[in-house]
Amino acid sequence: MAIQEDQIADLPEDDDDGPANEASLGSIGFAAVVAIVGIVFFWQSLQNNSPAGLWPRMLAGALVLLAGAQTVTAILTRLRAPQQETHSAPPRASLHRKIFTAAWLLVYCLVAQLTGFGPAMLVFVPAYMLVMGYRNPIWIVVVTAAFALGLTLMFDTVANVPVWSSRL
Amino acid sequence: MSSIWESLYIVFSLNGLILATVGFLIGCIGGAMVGIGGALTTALVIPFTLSMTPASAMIVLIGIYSGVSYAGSIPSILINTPGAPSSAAVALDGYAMAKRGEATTAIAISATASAIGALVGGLCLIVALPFLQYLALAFGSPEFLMFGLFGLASIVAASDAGYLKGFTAGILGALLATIGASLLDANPRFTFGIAELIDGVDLVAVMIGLFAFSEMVRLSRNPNSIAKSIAGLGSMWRGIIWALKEWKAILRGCGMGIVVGFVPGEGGTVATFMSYITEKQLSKEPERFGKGHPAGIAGPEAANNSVIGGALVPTLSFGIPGSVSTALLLTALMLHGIRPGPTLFTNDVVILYTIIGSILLGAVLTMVVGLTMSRPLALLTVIPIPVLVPVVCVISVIGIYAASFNYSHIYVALAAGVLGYAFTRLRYPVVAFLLGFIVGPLAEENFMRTWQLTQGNMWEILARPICAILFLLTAIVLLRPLWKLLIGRLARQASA
Repeated sequence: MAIQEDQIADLPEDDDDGPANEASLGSIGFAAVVAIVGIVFFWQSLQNNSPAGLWPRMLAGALVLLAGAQTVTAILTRLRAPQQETHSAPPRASLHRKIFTAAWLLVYCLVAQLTGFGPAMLVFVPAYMLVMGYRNPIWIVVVTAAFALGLTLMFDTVANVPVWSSRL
Repeated sequence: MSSIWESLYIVFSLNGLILATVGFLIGCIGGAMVGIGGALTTALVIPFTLSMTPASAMIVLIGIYSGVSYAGSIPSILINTPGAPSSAAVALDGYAMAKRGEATTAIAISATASAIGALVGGLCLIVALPFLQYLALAFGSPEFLMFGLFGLASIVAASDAGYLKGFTAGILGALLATIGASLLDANPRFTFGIAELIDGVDLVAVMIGLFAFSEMVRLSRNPNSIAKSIAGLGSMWRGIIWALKEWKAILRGCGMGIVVGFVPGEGGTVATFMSYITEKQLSKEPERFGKGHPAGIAGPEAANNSVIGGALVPTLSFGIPGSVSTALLLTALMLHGIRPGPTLFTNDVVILYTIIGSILLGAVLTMVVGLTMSRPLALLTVIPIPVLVPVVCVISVIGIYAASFNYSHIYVALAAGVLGYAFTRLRYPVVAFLLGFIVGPLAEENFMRTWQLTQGNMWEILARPICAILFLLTAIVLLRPLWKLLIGRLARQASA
């Protein structure tokens, strides 16, 4: 199924996916979170008096040092040359699409646990295509039906995964 | 000698060719399906092989093994989602090439290098099996530990993100791999009262989350497709020529795959990353790596497929399987009344050479099927994103469930997806995290054994030749970029 221009609504394509600045709040925050994870694991490993605590203690200690060093370096860089924050810029269409995809995936996983993979797919796949700008109803039905058939053959019949059952 | 001819006659007979092709195609489907993988595919087929002769069963199973090894790279190249951990290295340059509109070329490079890798690996197995047996025996806990550290150092050095971020990602991966029951005393560690975590964090879920989910979210920003148009998908012939031009990378990859591949556990994964880092460091244009350099596909692919021969050394020589797939192969052998081990070389020589002949046939099939399918497969990259994303996500979710029949692993994958997205945005090397996660348990197990062996004096292990060599290699890998920087600075000062 190649690209067919008339099937896709005219949505802009923008590229906001470049790497974040080394001294951005995101970078500092992430390094700090990793350092905190290291501290939590280090603390927990101290509670383990058996030899099984030694290896994670070493790893957690190293992680705290590395992530801590990154946090401090990023903060110092930021203090030396203050960054221009981009949060004042209006949210772009691409950001909305990414948030929608992440939310769609999460909700699909939650719903599939209750209804089964197949029934949830019959609703979620066409819904995603519609929302994301795929406008040809015939292709939406064809893709969904073909996909349902493929899933049944591959997983249900061959791999014995209950695709259409809600008992997971 | 007559045993070799008898084996070749069995493998290359019409019956053998049909069985190998069927096995290879099944392996391709299983390997390309994210979450299914080689182990599940082999497990599903073993019952059907019980009614066959042992030689026919081995032809089918080795065909599957070859198909899985090759096809794991297809989703890596097309949608940045490795079918197996050992295919992660290929994603670095393969996906970059697919995005550039050269998916056909990338798949053709992969198929050519894979075929040569499998061929060289199979031939070396014939020649070197007696020697590799001794090398496999020379690997004790200290060697495994150094091997794990070397693997991690390789990937950290390969990343452009810098050592600080590389080591942070690798150590975070190794630390998260310690979640669950301890390997030493089975006591739960870092489970925070969550019963589902006692079994640990599932590798398949982590891999799919890190690569597939984060990539799908990232891709969804674009309403069109990965490649711009059908016209610009590259050329199969260009792929073959580019692969052959990288013959040095292929040969180096084969060497690494054969020597490292026999290491139980994840020898194949480490071999592919070793090949990638070697090519990047030896290249005159290292800045092109990660942006679609042919050597970044050819080297790791050759390593990945030459591993097939290496991985069978401990399995056939000592009956020690290095992975789940080889364990299943071992099971199949035993179900057919064949006992792996030294007696295999005297009592069941025909079976032994049938296995080796099947590897060689697998190489031919990789070339023929891989190249034939390169163009149709590349069409995946022109599927509109609004269709591709939900399909890949749903297959991935079901694939995670199929791998373990545990729904909680799907939520682990979602968490790994968030981590993978953050890594990409903040320029942390995802593959360093994955390698840390894979090598971590192997390193821990051998660290504790070595600790007990040396009574805490770990430097003692450097008196062992293999450990000393691996230590030296680790130091070279880590210090080489610094050395280059220093030399560059001195040269600039001298010219000024």
